[in-house]
Amino acid sequence: MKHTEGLPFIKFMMLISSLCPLFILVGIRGIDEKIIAEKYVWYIIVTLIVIPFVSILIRIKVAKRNRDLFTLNTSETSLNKEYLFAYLLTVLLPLYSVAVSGKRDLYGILGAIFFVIFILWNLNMHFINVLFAFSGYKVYTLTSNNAVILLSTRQHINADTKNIIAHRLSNSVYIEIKNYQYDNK
Amino acid sequence: MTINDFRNVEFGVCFRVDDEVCHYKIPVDSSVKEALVEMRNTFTDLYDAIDGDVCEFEVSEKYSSSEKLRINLNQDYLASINNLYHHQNIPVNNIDLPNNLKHTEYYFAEFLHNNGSKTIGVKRPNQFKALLEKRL
Repeated sequence: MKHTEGLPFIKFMMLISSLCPLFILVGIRGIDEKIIAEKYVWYIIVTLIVIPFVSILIRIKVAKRNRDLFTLNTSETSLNKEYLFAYLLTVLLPLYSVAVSGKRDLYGILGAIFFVIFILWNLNMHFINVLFAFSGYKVYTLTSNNAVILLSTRQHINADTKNIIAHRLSNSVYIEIKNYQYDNK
Repeated sequence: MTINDFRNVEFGVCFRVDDEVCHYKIPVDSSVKEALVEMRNTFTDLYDAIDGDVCEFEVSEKYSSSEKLRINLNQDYLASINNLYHHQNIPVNNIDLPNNLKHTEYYFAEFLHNNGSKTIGVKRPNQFKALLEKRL
């Protein structure tokens, strides 16, 4: 039976959101004025940052309203620090070093971003969110028989933690929302 | 008991495709969770209302429609339910239920109590199938 990730729009928004540091860096480096005017570049960048983040916040609100909660067993977990490092090396640094001085460079970087999104989408690596990371969220991988489950939480999961109740962002990404009374004992 | 008496309530379905059994949890909203708690309450009320002690279930015995029975999960023919109870992090899947009715073995609800223990309610899908077929 086919396993679906569910909520593809939110998954896409999480992916776009994970690329927001790249958009900011591209904005800082700038694009040749002959290709796109500076102010439009920043309009596009702000849109690419705000819309996905607001979409995720709306999804969190809907999950809270619907009590879209799942109990996750945390007996076998690992902290995903290395993913952030891999993300930095494979996505941010190579794309940042591209200078956009002509239309071909622009198409090149857009193509590269498209392929990065395509690969991250297929690898289900849409959980890296720098805005959440700044708020103190860490991402844990939970062992599951059939699929990888990722939990974004502000608390440290130790050996004593057996079950955590968290809100579903997508079928494989869950979040323990700040200030929500989960009754996690 | 109300939904607030539980830390969490989840709904899931067991499918059997080509002799392979798979469990999936299905995202449901609060109204469905409340209905599941209601079903649980109805079951416990009926179960407690039956006179007599709890007896061990025997496959070869003939029983009436309502009897107080229990069975150890370590039976070969209960492997699926045994797996369900011990399976951690059952994958969540947005399954098109009406199109997978013929594969549906049973549906279940997992109740996580405030003391950390869990109860799993399992039900045959006859009514469930009829309801879904009505909606098709």
